[in-house]
Amino acid sequence: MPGLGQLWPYIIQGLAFGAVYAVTGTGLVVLYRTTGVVNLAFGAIGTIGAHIAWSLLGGSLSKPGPTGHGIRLLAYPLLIVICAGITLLYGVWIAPKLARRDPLVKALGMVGVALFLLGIMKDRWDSSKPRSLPFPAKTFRLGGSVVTTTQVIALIFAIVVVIAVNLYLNKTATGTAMRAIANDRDVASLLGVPVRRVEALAWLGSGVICGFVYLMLPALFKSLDQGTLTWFVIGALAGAVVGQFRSLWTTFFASMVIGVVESILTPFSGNLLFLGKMRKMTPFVISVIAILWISRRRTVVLAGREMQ
Amino acid sequence: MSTATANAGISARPNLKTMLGHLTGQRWFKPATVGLVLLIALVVIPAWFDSFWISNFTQMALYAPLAASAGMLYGRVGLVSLGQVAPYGIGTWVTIRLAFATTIPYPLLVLIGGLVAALLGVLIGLPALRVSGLYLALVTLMLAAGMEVILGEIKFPNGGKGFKGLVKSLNDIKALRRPSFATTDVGYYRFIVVGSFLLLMVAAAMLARKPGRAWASIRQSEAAALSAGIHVTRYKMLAFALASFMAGVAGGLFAGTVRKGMQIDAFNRQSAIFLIAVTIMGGIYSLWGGVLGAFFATCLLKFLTQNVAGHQFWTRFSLSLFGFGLLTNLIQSTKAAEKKGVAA
Amino acid sequence: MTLVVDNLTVRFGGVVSLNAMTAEFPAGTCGLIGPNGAGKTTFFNVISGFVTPSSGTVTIDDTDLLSMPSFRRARWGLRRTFQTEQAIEGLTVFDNVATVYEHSGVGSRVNRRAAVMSALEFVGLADVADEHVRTLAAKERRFIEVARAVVGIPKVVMLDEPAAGLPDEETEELQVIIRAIPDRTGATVILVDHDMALVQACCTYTAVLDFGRLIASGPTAQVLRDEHVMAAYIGVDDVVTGAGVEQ
Repeated sequence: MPGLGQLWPYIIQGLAFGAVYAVTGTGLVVLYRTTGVVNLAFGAIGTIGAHIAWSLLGGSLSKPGPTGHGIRLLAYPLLIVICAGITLLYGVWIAPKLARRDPLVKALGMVGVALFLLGIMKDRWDSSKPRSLPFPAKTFRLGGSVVTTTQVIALIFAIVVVIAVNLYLNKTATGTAMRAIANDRDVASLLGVPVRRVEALAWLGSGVICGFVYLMLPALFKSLDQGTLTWFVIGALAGAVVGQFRSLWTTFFASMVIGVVESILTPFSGNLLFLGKMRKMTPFVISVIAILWISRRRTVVLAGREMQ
Repeated sequence: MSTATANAGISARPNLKTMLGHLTGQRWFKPATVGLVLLIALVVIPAWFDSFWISNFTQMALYAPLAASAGMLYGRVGLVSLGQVAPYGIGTWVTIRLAFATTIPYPLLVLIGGLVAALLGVLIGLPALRVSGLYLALVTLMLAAGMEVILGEIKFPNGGKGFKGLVKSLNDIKALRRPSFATTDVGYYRFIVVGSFLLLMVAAAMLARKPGRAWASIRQSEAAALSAGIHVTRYKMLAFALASFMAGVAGGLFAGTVRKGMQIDAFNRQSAIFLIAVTIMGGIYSLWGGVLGAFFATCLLKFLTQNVAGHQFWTRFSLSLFGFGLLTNLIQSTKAAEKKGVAA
Repeated sequence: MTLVVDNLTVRFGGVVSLNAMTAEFPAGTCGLIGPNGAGKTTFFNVISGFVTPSSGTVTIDDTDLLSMPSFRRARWGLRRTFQTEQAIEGLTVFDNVATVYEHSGVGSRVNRRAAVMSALEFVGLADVADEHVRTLAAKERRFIEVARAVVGIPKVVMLDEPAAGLPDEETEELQVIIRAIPDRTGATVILVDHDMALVQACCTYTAVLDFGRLIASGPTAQVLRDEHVMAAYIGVDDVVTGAGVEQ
């Protein structure tokens, strides 16, 4: 059983990953609450944005890291714009076509988007070659281990996002409109809520969050690996699942815990070696437990709609 | 043209739609079609095509029961599983491990792989039976993701000892054996075709009888199914067991196509996602959908690559094509349902 | 066989759907009426096993229905039609009825064909037995549900608004069928519907629910004239009784 000193660097790492899980989770929950869509393409959109940024920054296979300075650094904010743009485009153009279907079908639509983007990525950027997209950061020591400013920014950003989004949903008119639409889209429309516009805003917000996450994620992972980055969203769902796609604070705390647990299992060895090796399963295991717990009361499905 | 002649012309012209309907309704039509396809697969294809194409058809024959298992769960029972690659992987792993460790005949090994997959599928699926819709899809996706981690850790056996069956040095890697009657690529292809055919027949048989009727009831409404006396949980378990068995056997068959160095690519999250896209595009209401989807994903793609302008475009963007295809399929079905005035 | 309901209470969060409902449904056809939201479908859902009451019992012939899991009740002999459910789309008419028969715990494959055709003849659908349900109209689908309810040996048949959406001639056909169910099966039939003509024609005995409570029960004609029943449907202020207009 490793001691605190051994665990400390992993706790820091875990807090950072937990933070990006939390931010992703917040983005997923807000979008789901407004539109009923679980954005399974979050990862694909972010990854392709990161790759475009990498290319714009002059990245090449001989020098896998970007080499740009000056105006090329605009590639970073451009990442956010691209992610937001792709997400918004889907939300405004295609999502309405599936608006009347159940959440499962809407999620499958995002699967289609993810595959579509993955194909482009695989072609344009050969996935077998290593790349990296570091985020401009400094490092400092804290309690004997190295901390990067990226990790700190991630953590602060996660806290800011959850507070800001909560305030937004509860205090502003558009936020309230989002909650109204989530409650009942048709009634909200009857009440004069500009449904399409508010939904577009939710999609845009989700895309912006996606951009910010993928600004930091390649740095945290220390690589720009297509597979890992694209399917990051599956693990990030865990926090949202625990929060039942409703509560932002639960999503936040669950995500943080999952991130930390996943990370601190790394140095486990000896009899507990399997924990170290299976640590990547943490979000999946927790998701499954959460879903089973949520469904524990036997509900009967009547013509596709749940009866309590 | 006078009215009389015009009328005579109209009634004399056979209506293609009714003719087709009449044909497909004949009792001998289905068995005849199946027999014909089987004949083409076993006899015509090996005779006509070269080894490159045989390997593509091999992939198609493997993928068909896998896609059909997912399609059957979704289209005939109403259960979405994004995790069918998990029993697929279990089947592959078990078959390979036993192939190295024992001298049990290969076909039996494949069967054992399927049974182990079915057992694990039921055990793991048991708590998931109360879940439906989106949450079921997510649970199964998580299970597939978890399986990816496990497989990535224990890897595939390559002739060594111990549980994992991994050799210490790269020089000791052994090649996986094949059934004694099917050692060549063509012979193994035929073996796979027969195996997949049997799997699909088992599924078809169950769908046509009591389980199929119970599943149709459950798919429409669990409440109505319970009211009809159907033990919903048991039949859902049966559906998962069958689907896992099909995927597991497919996995065992798959094992023999990769003699050395099985990768986990076929069992990762991306493959899970790709599978559901292929399944939906092929069609989920009939087992033929699995065959069609498998055809799209393997042979059609390769054919387009070789022969249609733009050559490499099709393989390069195969994932994109399926993503696009999936979205189109979903949008089309929405439009169709809205036109009929029913809730999709 | 009399279905005895004792002190049945159902709570959904803060709402009390059934409020100490106590009633007896004698053999034959009984009507269960009441304004919307009175708890009629909740009552059916309790008997089906989809809703757990917070208190109360439902017994018939010394059998405690509520102690059995849902699907076992069907095997015991409980049948039910649904307001919105219709026949199973993916199957033929024959298979729709056969499914209920083969899960009802009676008979063997040998008797299956005879039992199913008998039920189909009873509702007049014998000649479309091999048709797929999706080719049929609303009336046929409703009748398939009735066939499913009477096949084999049912003991209690619950019909939840079987006439909803049907035009008058088809409702009359339905009426003839419903009236014949007790004689054919010996089952106790409970009919929920808003069509008072149908209720009056089919049911010898009727119970009335309002706000989850039984407010009247007895011979149908008598119940339908009861002032409390009228008040429940129309509103107290507007009820005109023999004593003059109530204030």
